[in-house]
Amino acid sequence: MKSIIFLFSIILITNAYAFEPDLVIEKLKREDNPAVVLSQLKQLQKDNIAYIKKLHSERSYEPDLMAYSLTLKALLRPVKKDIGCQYYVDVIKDSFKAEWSELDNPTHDLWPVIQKICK
Amino acid sequence: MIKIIGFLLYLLVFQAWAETPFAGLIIESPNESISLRDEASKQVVTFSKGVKLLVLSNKEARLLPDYDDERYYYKVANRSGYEGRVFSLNDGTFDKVTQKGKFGNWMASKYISEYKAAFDAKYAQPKKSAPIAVSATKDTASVVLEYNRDYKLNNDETPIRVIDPVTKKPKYVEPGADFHVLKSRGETFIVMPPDKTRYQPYNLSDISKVFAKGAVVPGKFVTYDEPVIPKREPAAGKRSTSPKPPKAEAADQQLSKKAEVTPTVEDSAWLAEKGLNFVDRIANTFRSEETAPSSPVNNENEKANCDIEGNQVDAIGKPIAPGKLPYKKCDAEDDYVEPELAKLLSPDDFKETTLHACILAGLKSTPKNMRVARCENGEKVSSDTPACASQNYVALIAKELKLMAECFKNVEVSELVPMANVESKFNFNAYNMNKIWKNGQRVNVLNASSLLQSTQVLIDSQEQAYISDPNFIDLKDTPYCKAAINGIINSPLSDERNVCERTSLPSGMRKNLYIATAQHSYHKRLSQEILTNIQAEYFGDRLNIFNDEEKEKIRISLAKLMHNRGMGSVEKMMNMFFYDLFHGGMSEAQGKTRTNYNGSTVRHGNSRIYKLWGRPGFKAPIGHEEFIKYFSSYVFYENKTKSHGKNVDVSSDKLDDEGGTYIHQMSCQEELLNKKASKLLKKDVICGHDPIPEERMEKTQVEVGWYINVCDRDNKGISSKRLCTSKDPYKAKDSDGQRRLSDAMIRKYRDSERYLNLCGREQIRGMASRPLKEFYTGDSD
Repeated sequence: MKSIIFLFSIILITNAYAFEPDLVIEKLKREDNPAVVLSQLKQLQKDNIAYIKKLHSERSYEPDLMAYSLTLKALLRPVKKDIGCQYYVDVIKDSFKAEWSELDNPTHDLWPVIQKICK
Repeated sequence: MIKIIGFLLYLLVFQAWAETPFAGLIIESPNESISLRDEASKQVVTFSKGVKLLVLSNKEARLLPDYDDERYYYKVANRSGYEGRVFSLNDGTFDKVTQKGKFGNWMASKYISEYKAAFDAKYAQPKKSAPIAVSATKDTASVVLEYNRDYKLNNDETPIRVIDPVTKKPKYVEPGADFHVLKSRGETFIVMPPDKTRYQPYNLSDISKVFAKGAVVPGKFVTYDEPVIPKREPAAGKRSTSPKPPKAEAADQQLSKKAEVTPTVEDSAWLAEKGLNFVDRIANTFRSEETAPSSPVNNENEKANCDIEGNQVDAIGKPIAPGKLPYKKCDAEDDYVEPELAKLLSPDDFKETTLHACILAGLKSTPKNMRVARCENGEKVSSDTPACASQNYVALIAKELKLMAECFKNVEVSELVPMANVESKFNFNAYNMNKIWKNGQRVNVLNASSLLQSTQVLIDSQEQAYISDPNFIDLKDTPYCKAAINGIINSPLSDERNVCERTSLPSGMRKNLYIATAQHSYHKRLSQEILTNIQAEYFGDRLNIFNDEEKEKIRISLAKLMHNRGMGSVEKMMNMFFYDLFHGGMSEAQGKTRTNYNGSTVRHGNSRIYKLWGRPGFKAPIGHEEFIKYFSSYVFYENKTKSHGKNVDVSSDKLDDEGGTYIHQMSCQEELLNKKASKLLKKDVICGHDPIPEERMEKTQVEVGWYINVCDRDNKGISSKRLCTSKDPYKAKDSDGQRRLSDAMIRKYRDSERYLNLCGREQIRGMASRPLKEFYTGDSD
């Protein structure tokens, strides 16, 4: 019994530290309540910054995960209540000085979620 | 008795004549800082690398109250504020740092031949306490070599051999002839009036010997205005230190408290604990305390500006005498804003400073960007007539730039001026040929028509939070600043492309300028945040990863790059660069790889560049020059490629050479602005925040010369031209295995300022591709 509890605890702890932004984004694509989406995006922003710190402190080399999270950080930076859709697109294009179609992942994954809260 | 008197006389004569063989020579430390004792205060002062020191003769040094014949005495040859002041170092330490006859780290290679004879003299003979033959046998004392001074070679002296710079044939300074010795950009020349040719000495030690044995008679000091071989003019905009203390951010100040020191055993253990001992060479990744690049501290004179020759250089904002600037007098064709300008200016606004000179120089150098355009009944009427660079025009720009920069606590007007000259959003008169759709076709339209106009993209950005949200901006509480922000909040610029509405004076102009300056301020703030985060992630407050004194320069460079490449892009590149540096050696990327929305695999970073960290040219604390050299190269390779550091073709169009070459090109533009403003004032002026290091501009000139005279001529296709520019011009060989560029050609390019006018992106592409080339192509030439 003790070993089962131990294993369960390990799973819980592992899950607590797991950061799967693409899963969060997929989940938010199915969420219709803008208030919930905004709140979840704010949480994603916090978790993502914590994850970047974690990558910095780990003895590993995960450049694609780091690049993904750094892009996500820039994509979430302007998110706020009542944000304009065109405004968001302009800000992100300006932030990367690139055409919308050229922007890195997860820009295009995240865009349907942003559209749920922008006007 | 006679023998005793004779012996005493001999000692007296020896004491008077015993002379250091280095007297009159220049030491330059190309790689390390130098710590010397200030003879006035007895405090140790550290000079940054590149400082030039003139070794004093013992004759001159003996005049000092605390003269010690076991010490060497120096004057600083290229640092303002130290003229006339004497510094010293004990003989043993001198031996140690110069590694005796091996010249060590203190000797720039260009001085080695000059020093050879001196070293031979010093180390082939017993120490100073023994008589030096040349002094004891001559009946004249040595003469201290002073540059730009007339000398006559004694009649019984051997002629001094020199080389004609054009024919390369030998020529001689004959006995009894007059000559001058010139020092220019680290090289020594001989001039024999009335001939103004600058001859190259055949052997520098010949000159030092002649002076050491006093075989010359000093005359008057001379000046030169007509160099015969192409030389750079007196270095405009050069100074050795920052003109004023940076507006450091609070977090930065906190981090700055930690001195730059060599890691202790405890530090090494701490770094190892963080996993940063991956190559087991922690101690080698930091500069030692004595070699850390730093400017002299604890000295008020530090803030004075000077060029490499020690001449005073005026920083931006220094008052100038009235009537010196050649303004244009407007006529009916081009006086379109004169009546409005006159209403906005007071007599105080005409008190000119170097800021006015820099603005006028910028306006004169970009005439195509300035065109008359009137608004009639709310409609723009454009014209090909150049706008009038009048005194009013310059005075209003200077006034508004200065006032607006003062609104932002982290911005100096000196940062804005170089950008105003070349960058959209800051242009004095943005004659923007923006493309719009009209009747189904894309056509160019003039998008602005007055002072300090902005582009459409900047107008679009006025909604961004950092423009008006107090959480993002830190605005001073002056009436001008409050009016500026309230103008944006209460009546933002129209986002319709109505130029006339936007360009009203003064409100439209001030709104444009406010948005551009607020954006720059925010970019600087973000740059600060990036540096602070990188410092915190890797070294906390234990050891400095960036050189404290150079952080402001790094922040400005990052902010400029954000202007060009976007803040999200630069933030990502900076974090990735340091991630690769510190983690690349830990393991190859084996973790999860996310996929793009279209299913393609994202590949970022270059695990191999961890090998760069700790090399002699890239150690903590990192200075501005090494930072921009390597970071620009990283941006060049990484910004648009997903190569993951493998099989990169340096000639590829896919490489983002705009971002990679941007800072290098901005330096060129800024240096040109310095020179043009200096020509207007006939005095050296710095228009930017910091001087552009001469070494960087020389390298740029060689780079452009290499491209234009070799790569472009020898190759037809753009790809082969680019492969050529990716090779080091100092080392590249031809098909016979011989060096493609001779030293003479390199010198010619290095001295040709005209190349600064030609430094386009393609011409300087090599500067971006080369520093990290070995890690991306496996080819290190």
